[in-house]
Amino acid sequence: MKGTISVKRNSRWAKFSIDAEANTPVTMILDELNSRETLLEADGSPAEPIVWECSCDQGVCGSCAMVINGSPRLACSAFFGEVGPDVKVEPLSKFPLVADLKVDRSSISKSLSEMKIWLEDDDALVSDVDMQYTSASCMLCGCCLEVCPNYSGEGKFFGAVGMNACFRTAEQLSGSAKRERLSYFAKHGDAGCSKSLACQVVCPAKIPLSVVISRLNRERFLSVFYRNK
Amino acid sequence: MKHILVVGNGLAGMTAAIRAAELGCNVTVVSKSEPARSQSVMAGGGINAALNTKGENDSVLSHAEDTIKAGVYLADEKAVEEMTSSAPSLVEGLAKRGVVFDRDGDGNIDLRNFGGQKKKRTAYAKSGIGKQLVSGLSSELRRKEAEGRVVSRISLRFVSPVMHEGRCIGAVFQKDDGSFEAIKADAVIAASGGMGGIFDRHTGSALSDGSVTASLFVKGAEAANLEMIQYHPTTIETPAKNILVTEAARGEGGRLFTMRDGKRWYFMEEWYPEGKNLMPRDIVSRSIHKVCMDGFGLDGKYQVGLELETLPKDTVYKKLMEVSELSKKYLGIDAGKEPIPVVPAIHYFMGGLYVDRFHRTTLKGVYAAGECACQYHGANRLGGNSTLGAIYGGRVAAETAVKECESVSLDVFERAAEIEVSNIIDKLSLHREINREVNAVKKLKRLMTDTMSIIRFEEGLKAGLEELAGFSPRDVYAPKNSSADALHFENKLILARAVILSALERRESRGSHARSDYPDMSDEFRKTTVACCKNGEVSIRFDSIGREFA
Ligand SMILES: Cc1cc2nc3c(=O)[nH]c(=O)nc-3n(C[C@H](O)[C@H](O)[C@H](O)COP(=O)(O)OP(=O)(O)OC[C@H]3O[C@@H](n4cnc5c(N)ncnc54)[C@H](O)[C@@H]3O)c2cc1C
Ligand code: SF4
Ligand code: SF4
Ligand code: FES
Repeated sequence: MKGTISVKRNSRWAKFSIDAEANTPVTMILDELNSRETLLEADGSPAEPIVWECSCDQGVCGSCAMVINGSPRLACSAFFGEVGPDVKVEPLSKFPLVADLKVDRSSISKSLSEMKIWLEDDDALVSDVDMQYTSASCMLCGCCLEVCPNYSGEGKFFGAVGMNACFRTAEQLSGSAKRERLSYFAKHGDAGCSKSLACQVVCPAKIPLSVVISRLNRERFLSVFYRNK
Repeated sequence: MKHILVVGNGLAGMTAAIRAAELGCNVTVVSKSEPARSQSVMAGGGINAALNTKGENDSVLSHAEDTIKAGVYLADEKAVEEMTSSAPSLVEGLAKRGVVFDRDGDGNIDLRNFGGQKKKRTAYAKSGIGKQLVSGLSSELRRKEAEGRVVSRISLRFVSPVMHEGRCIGAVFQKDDGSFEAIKADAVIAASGGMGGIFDRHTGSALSDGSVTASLFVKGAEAANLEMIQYHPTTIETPAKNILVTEAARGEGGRLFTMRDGKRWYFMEEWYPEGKNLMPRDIVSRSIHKVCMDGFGLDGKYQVGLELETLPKDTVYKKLMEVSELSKKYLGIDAGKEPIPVVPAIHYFMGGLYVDRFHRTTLKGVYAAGECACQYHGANRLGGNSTLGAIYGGRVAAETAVKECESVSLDVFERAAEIEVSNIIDKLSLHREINREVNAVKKLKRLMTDTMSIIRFEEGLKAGLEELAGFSPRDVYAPKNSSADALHFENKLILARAVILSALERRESRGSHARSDYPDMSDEFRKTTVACCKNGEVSIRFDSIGREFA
């Protein structure tokens, strides 16, 4: 199938002609471009190889998250047959740009550190294993932040990725350590979240963020309630 | 205060960093990307530990025996016993540190059966143990960072070690903008994963490309059992790569077949009436290879069928959800209605940097753990033992490194680093003037996968060597911001040569190494294959198993 791929490179769109099978993932289309003896744009002008991130190539590591035809998703799980014949790819916009499609997502790690996403002692509680598992499957890809109307990369609001991490940690903690995490949820999550759930729609790990948020709220209510009693 | 530099932040690297920090050191963990991107997150099946909660009389000793037997007596038995003895407390410790495992009715960590082991001893987390382990360990690492013990640096690519008087005192990395940075260390722990970068169509991650192994090898760290490469029998071929279909598909009753005389021929069941479709990975892979080479590949291709459609629908769509989703997504095949075409593909590297049971390499100041190191698995690895080996090995490597490391002055380091960086820049300047070959890496990978195929033989291996000699180290084109890839390519060519030579010299068949010209196992080769590089020349020798390096 013939088509084109337009790649946003430093705010300029570069368009390339491609010919790929329907089951070719976008990562492979990019790889094919970089394998050309001489890479030329569709208009014949020469181009440097494209920079993007890729690791597992099977949808579990979050490396290849980018905006494809306007929506954030994993490039290794976006197939030409579905997103073609004219594909537009651009970097996630809420992170500093490194080059082409590669961004610096270290702000996610920073927000997790700020919310103390770790256990205080070696005694993790085992409660709802299924939800803990699902929550820990977060790839830290950043797709949820891309669509979030309230996340800007600056300020106190850390978005769905932060709330989900808070949930997992709070679930495994008790007492004051748990209350502390719940207070981070209030400060860095709930206070800024308008519950539109756009994040849930795009999350490639299929994390039920609505459940995460409502359970955190319930826990927070209970913790405040019991402490005040 | 001692400073330990860890290269790689998969399971082995994170564990090493955490342990070194616990022992009071300052640690810098450097990697290409965040832990969540490492190959470790791809692990599906589980992690082995003889927790013995299933009333099966399991013990750490039988875990050791199974490991040694699966490795066809090439593994260091003492090292294996130490690992399996630590496994139960290690896995319980991981759970306490927040790693989520499936639980049985009594709330114990649940255990499943896994190939090559008669007892239930594989702790698991649905179909994604790796992700759970990485999530748990990265929280722990974050805590160490907050305590000021660990600094994590990402988007830095290891280029080469900084050496002084035969000892490694740090390493040079390349940044995203193409510039170089040298980091001083009292000891370096390599935790950089397998050698996927010199093979194509493997199941692993593009990040674990063998570049660190190749660089250290060329600088004098010896490598061991490089010929021992595990093929997983069931992967699906997608345009981009081969994706693993878990052993559980056969565990739940999936059958391998191909067509003969217009009928389904269940060759595994015919050839191995006892173990059938669940024979060890190497045997199943070789059987599929044989069927295909004899002209019986399904639809005339190099592939056989995995029959799941005769299983209960619940099994296909629920228990094996991951498999049915995979085949739907990548092949458009509904596993409840049609067979899935599968092929064997490279999955794990038992060989790597030569380490002793304390995880010392032969290069002073460098330690190695995880898939980049040759330890615990001998000629074949048991499913569930490599996550264990990476975590346990990372711990041991840190303990040894902390005990043995020596400081050099900043002055000495800066001088040595300056020389190393200018050497790198000199070498790279040669590259840029020369012919740009965009696809040199791809060609190398193809050649290596062909040459190191499931069945090897002298002429094939020699032809591979000859073709390899035709590659010019300067062939490769690397864009400016990752110019060090050009050096990695030079090193990988040498490592590739060592891999083929190791296979050539091991004139026997053992575990994952099968030679059609030497089909039998020979006691003479119950040894470690050691590859050594001096001035770019590779030589091979055989060491007795379990050597310790001073
Ligand atoms: C699909 C799949 C399923 C698997 N399932 C299982 C299972 O069920 N059970 C099991 O026990 N094992 C399994 N394995 C094997 C197991 O996952 C790996 O062997 C193990 O996780 C390796 O961990 P590691 O820490 O050694 O390396 P990796 O996780 O590979 O990490 C290597 C690290 O090194 C970094 N790195 C590499 N080169 C450089 C460089 N030049 N500069 C800087 N950093 C660098 C990478 O970025 C990465 O952080 C599976 C493997 C695959 C591919
Ligand atoms: S629910 Fe809406 S506001 Fe809240 S994190 Fe998700 S996208 Fe952002
Ligand atoms: S919550 Fe979902 S979308 Fe957000 S970072 Fe995690 S996996 Fe990605
Ligand atoms: S490369 Fe891992 S999710 Fe796409």
